[in-house]
Amino acid sequence: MHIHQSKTLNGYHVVFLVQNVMIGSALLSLPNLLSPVGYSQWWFPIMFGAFANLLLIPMIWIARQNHELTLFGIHQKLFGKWVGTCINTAIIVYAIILLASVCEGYLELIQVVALSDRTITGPLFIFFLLLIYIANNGIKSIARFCIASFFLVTWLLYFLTWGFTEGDIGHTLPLFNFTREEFLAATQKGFISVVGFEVILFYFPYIIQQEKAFRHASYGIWICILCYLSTTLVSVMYYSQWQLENVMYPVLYLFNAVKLSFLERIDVLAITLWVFFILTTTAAYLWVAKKGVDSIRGMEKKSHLYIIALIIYLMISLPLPKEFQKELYERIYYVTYGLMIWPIFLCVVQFVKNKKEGIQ
Amino acid sequence: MGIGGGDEVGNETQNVLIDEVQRQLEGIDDAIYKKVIVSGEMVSILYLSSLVDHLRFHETVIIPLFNGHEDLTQVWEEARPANLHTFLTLITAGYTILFFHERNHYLKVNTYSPPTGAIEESDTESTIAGPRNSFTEAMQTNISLIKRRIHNSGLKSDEYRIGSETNTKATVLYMEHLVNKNNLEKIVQRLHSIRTTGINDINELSQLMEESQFSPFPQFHNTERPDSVVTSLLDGRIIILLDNSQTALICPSSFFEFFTSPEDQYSRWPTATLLRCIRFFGFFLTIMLTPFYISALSHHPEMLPFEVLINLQESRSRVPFPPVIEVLFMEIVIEVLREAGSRMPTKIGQTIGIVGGIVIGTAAVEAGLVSNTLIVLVAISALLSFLPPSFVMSNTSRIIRYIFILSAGLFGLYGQMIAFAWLIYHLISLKSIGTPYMAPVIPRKWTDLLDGIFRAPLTLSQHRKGISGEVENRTLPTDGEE
Amino acid sequence: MKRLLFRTSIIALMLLSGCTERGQDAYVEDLAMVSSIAFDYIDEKTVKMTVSIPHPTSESQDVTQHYSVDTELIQEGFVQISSKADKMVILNQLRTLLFSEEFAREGQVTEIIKHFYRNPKVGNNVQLGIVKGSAEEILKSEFPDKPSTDTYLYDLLSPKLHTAFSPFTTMHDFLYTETNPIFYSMVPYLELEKDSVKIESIALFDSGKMIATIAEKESSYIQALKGVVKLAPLEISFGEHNAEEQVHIELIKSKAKITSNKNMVSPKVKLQLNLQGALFEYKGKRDLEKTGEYKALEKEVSKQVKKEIEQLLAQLQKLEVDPIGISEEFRMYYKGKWTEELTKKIIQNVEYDVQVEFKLLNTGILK
Repeated sequence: MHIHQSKTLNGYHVVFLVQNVMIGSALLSLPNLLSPVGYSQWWFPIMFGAFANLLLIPMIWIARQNHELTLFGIHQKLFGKWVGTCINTAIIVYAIILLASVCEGYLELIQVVALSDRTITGPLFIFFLLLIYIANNGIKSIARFCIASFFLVTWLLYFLTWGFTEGDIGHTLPLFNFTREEFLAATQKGFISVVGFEVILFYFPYIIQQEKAFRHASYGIWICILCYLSTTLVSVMYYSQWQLENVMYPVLYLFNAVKLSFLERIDVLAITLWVFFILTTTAAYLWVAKKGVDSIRGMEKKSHLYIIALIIYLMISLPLPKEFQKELYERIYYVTYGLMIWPIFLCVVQFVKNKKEGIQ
Repeated sequence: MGIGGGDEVGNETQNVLIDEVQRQLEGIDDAIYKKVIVSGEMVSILYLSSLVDHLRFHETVIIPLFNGHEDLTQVWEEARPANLHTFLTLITAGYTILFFHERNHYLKVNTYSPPTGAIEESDTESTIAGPRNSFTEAMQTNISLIKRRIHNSGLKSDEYRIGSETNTKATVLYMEHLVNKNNLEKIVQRLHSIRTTGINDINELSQLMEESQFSPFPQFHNTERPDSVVTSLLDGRIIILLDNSQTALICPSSFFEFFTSPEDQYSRWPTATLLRCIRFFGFFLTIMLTPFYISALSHHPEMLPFEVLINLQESRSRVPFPPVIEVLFMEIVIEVLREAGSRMPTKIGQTIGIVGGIVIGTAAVEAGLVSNTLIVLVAISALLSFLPPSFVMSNTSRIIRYIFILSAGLFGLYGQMIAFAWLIYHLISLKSIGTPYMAPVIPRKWTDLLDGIFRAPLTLSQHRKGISGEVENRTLPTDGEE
Repeated sequence: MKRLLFRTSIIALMLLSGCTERGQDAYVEDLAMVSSIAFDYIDEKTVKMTVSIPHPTSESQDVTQHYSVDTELIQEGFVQISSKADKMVILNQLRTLLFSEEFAREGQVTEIIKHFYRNPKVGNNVQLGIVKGSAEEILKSEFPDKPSTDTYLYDLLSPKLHTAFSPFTTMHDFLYTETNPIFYSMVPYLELEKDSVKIESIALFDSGKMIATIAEKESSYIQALKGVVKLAPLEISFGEHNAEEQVHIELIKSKAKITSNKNMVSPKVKLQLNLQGALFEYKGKRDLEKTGEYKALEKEVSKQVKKEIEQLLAQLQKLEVDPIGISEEFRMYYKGKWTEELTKKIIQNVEYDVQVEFKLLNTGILK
């Protein structure tokens, strides 16, 4: 057991951690999520990237003020033990629900596309075995896995060229063809896709070059945005507005358009290879939840990880009412937006506290 | 255990000591105990004749002893500490002990002269270009083969004894100014912590030293070629040699090294790069090929082109097994063939090859046991599995394939990808003496990439490899342990 | 713990692998892979659905099985077919959908295609075709010199240079043009001949219903204006009574540029077409050795192509369809939601300005 936290994450680890945790299953349905604004959606990822980068500033600031502490530690320091623990518990619950929603979303997709007429239980089980194995070894191993998955999966973007050649670049115009309501609806739904960079608050103490962390995290965000941008751009070119609204996973259908002489359908390959991105996202959140339980109980134990994983597994496999589940998973994203703005509030508290200490 | 402990012991006790040694050597039929008179002084000579060549004994002991005994004590070392344990160890290691009764001197002479095999060409790592010498089973010869290639006082060799009963000699070689001291410490520590009664081969040692015992991957590379050893030494790595063992252990090693051959260094870079790529991607192909057959046939009928599927339908129409069983059956048959062939003398081995090739290949298809497409795939993947120059890695690739076959049978491509993710993660988190196994993909140095899967022209890749860790720049913690 | 996990997972894998064996037993040899489906019109509600399922030659004399059912719902039709077939009927390898002309004019083509589009097992590259007469007949007809009807149809409908006038509409393309208010769908129109099937012309759709067919050459112009680079060879005759001179041109490269005046009230469109080709055959009195004649021929061809395109545009305008997608040039600068009415309005009022420039790259290797 190491109570002492050693600094282990290099610059490139941070880049890919940020990028990989951001890309989850949201990328597969992003053009559909953004469909309220129709063809104008293609540049939305850039806007999201700018937002994310802005939101990163208070995060890094608060983390650097407390460079030895994770967000859990910061809460306990700023709000005292009890309030801090309450907030931390809320974050753990949030992480668990988010994890469940990501896993379930992906596995249902697998069930539809790759393993039809199968129950989800078996695939879920081996997914979780692997997930625990990955999350078990700490954040550095996750970071390394992120790097590997980036190179193993992103080449799939090459297959977008089929859609690109068939599409019509003219769809990108006009640029701002939407009303305010449509804009808000698209932003609200689509901003989910950039969720994930806030995890940096939890692994910040492990970063070696903390003074450069902002720059590295920004690189990560923009690599991710570049992937998003290419998919939304190609989708806009390739689909009609009706298709954007009605095709649930436009990226999947883009892969479907690929014709190779030796492989008829590339989408099954793509969707199964996607498990790498899902694994990195979920492993990072599982690690966060585990760290949270560690900090609440004041000790590090592997059993925490197993218990959390078991809870999530049960959450997914137990026959909860579908409506309740759906509601829960949709609501959880509002909490995410809250969590993204939360550091600004923390900054204010920290600022006031610093002032007070200065006066004393 | 020792009877007289110190240096200053009386004549009486010393006689007792030499008698005790003699008593301990009783029952060893090749133990020689002689008393000779040299210039009026009684000298006792003890040695094991099976370890000492007669000619050498004559040259090194008898001639100096009877010709100029004045400076014998200066030529020969004194055996210290003078106790039973030391003497017995020395004698069993091939030394000759001389006891000068008058002067109370115990002298030792290294007369160890095991029968040395001729230096031959390597069987398992043969190359067309480059030096042909390979290690023999005599360690002394092996060390000389290495030192012959590096004329540098920085090349150090430390001796260790392994095995509580066999006392097998192991030598750790390294370049003092290049080696990473942390790694050296770890190696020494592990060598000391080995608890075994005896050890026969360096592969045993390698398994005893590994960090992850349950990993299917070998974590140390071994070679029988002095030139590969030299290359590794120059990277600052540590070499372990074991007496009576024909291979040397390279620590730390990386995954990629199992796919490189020393020949890569001698051939031109485009050739070397091409061959390395084939070997490396062959590894991933061999574990993916037959599992993909299962996935496509039992889970994803939409993946393959229509015409291929119709062909597969035709060839599988008489096969009674599901694809998983079919593949497992064929893979095991190949494995059986290989195993049967490898234990046989060469001539019978050929017969087995023919039996396997013709009878099982053609007849199995005609009998409707397997589809002919599968025969092709299994044959290709078997060939691919023999691509890595390292025998251990080639075995590993076949073992891993079963994991992929089973997971493909279970969940099709999804299972395969989960297994692939496991494989990647496992490789990433594996370590060899604290060094990431996936170096240089997890680079210690960016220049490593010039001599990874792609081998750049030699003038560009003259940087020292980062695999053993930076010696100068050790401020950052490099272990991922938390 | 890591080790324990590893071991448990291996054991679990083995155990679970056993479980699947006794689950469903649908391996590739147990599947009846539907390759083509034909739809024929019966009445407003019912449709006659014919599927063809190729299977390995070793199993029976015929290479293809056919099943026909009359049904109101497609899924129900498949249930009926499944109960007739000896193997499990799957749609994963569906490649061709054929509709009879009657069905295309009266029936619910879009609904049927949407049904298949929604099914994740069906790929999007399914080729579509409209058939003169009965679609079932084409599927069931046999062509002794062809490997199988299915493969023949699929290959026929796959892009090739000499049939490049055809839009080679796939399921995705059809839905794209159907659901896009700008475009009008085009689908190859097939006709059964004695020993073969021919892409006779191109069927034009408006709001999911076939309304007309256009000839090869006109379709070729539409493809050119849509920006297809590689076009089918062009046969042009001009001069008096259109019979004086005849040229056969292999088009090497074509480039189209459409610009609008962005004015919704009095729309004007400029269509510029650049064609480059090689002369393969020439019937006429010109001496092509002379540079002047050569240039003159280029001019003549340009003029003729321009004339033909103008005729085509007028014809399309009369039909009130626009497969070229000219309104796209207006939509790009229009703020607000674009609707089909706007497209219709553009088509009715638009003024075309066609410019064609033809360039001969060579005249072949013979004099």
